[in-house]
Amino acid sequence: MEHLTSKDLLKKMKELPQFEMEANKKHETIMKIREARTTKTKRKFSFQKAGVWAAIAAVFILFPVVYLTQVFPDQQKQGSLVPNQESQEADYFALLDENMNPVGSDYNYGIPEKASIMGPKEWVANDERGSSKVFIFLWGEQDKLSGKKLTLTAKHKKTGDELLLSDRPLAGKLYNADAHLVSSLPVFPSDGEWELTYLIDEEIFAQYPVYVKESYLNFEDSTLLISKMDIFAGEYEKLQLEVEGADLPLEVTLKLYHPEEKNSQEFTFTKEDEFIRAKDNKVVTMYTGNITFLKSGHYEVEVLNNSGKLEVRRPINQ
Amino acid sequence: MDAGRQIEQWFYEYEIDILNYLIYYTGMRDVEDLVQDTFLRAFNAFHSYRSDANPRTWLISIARNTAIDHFRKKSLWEKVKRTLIADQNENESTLTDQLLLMEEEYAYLYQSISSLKQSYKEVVLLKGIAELSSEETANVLGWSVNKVNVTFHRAVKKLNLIMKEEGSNGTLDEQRSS
Repeated sequence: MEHLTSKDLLKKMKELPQFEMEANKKHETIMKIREARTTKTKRKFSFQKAGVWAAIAAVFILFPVVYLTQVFPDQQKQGSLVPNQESQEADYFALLDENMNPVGSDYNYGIPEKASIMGPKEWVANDERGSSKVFIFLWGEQDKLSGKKLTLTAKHKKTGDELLLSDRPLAGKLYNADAHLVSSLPVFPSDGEWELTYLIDEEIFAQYPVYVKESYLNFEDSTLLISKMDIFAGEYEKLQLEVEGADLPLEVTLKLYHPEEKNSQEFTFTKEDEFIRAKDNKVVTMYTGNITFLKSGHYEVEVLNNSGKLEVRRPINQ
Repeated sequence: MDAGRQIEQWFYEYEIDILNYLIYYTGMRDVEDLVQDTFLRAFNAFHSYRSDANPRTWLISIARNTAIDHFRKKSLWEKVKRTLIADQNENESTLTDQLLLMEEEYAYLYQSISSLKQSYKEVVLLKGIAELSSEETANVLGWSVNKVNVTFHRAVKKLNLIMKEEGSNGTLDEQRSS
C-alpha cells in the first residue's frame, strides 16, 4: 500500500465495510428500552408516600360517596357507551416495518404492544384534517383480533360527552401490529381530555386518554392552522394559512392590529398549494408564512378581506 | 421529550454508527449485546446529558466505556488486546477474517490499525470509524485537542511504517498460510 497521509487514511477508513444489526436484535433492543422506561416509571412509586396520599384521598373520596349514597340512594347510573376500566398511560411510539425501520414515531399514539392510532401529530377540536384518514393498530393474538369488530369510543373526561369513533371489523397484520383498521374518525367537538376505549366483541381491550387542543383560529373563510391555546408572544415560522377560494394571489398579506397599542404589523404569506376540501368540496388555497406576536393581548386579524379577532395568551393563563 | 422516547429515537438514528464503532473497536463481529447495553446505559444516564452536546458523540463515548467495562468485568480485556494485535486463534471468526473474505486491502488496513499501540488506535478509530472531529475525539477521551492531533499524526506515521514492514513480508493470506 502506498504512503498514507492523515487525509488518505480517513478516506480509506470510510471505505471499510459497514455492518448492520440483525432485525431481531434491533427489535429486542427497542423493546428493552421501552421496558426500561416502564420500569423506571414504576420505580418512582413510593409505598410510604402512597400510603399517606391514599389516606388523604380516602377521606375525600369516601365522604362524598357515603354522602351521595345516603342522600340519593335511588339514583342509578345512566347507560354509557364507554364502560369504566383502568385507563393506561399512552405515548408516541414507532411502528416497525419489515426491515425493522421505524414508522410514525411522531404521530402514532397509544400503548406500545397494545393499541394505537397513527393520526395527526396533535388532535385539535373541530378539525377534520387530522382525522380524515387514520390507521388504528392492535397487538395480541391474531385470531382473537382479525375479523373481529372493533368499537372505538371516546368520552370527554369533564363533560361526559361521548363519541363513537369507529365500529368496524379489523383487518390483519400491518407493520409489526397484529391487526389494523384504516378509518376516518369524526371530529372531536370540544377540547380537553378524551378517554378512548377499544372494545373487541363488546369487551374492553384497551383504554387511554388523548388530549384534544382548542380549535384552530378561524376568521370568516380563513383558518390559521395553530391551536388558539398555542398562541403566545413570540415568533412562529412556517405557519399554515388556509383561505377558501381558487386562483388566489401567489402572495397575500396578513395584517395584525393591536387596538390598545394602536400598533399594526404585516406579514407576507406565500401560496403553497390549492386543493378541494373533502368535507364541503370547496376549493381551498394553502399559504405559509411567519408571524411575530410582539406581546400578549387581543388583536384584530385580516387577510384577503377575511377579518376576525385573536388572543395572544400569556403562558400563565393556560 | 422523555428519556425513553429520546433514547429510542437516537437508537433509530445512530444504531449503525454505534454498531460499527464497536465492531472495529473490539475486533469482533458479534457486538449486538454491547450496542443494546450502550443504549440502556444511555437511558439510565440521560439526566447527565447536556442538551447542547452532540448526542452521537455522547453515545460513542458510552459505547467505548461499555466495551471496556464489559471486557474488564469478564477479565477478557487482555484477550481483546491480543485479538486487536491480530494474534488470532484460527478457530475464531474475527473481524479481520471477515474483512479478508470481502477484500484483502480492508483486512490489511484493519490489521495494521489493530497493531498500533492503544492510544494511537483509540484516536484512529474515533476519527476514522466514528468520524468524530478532533474536538469530539478530545471530549470522548478526556484529552486536549492538541494531544488528539499530535497523537493522530504520530499514529499515521507509525501506521505507514507498519504497513511498509508488513508489505515486505508478503500478503495477509501468505502470512496466514505460513
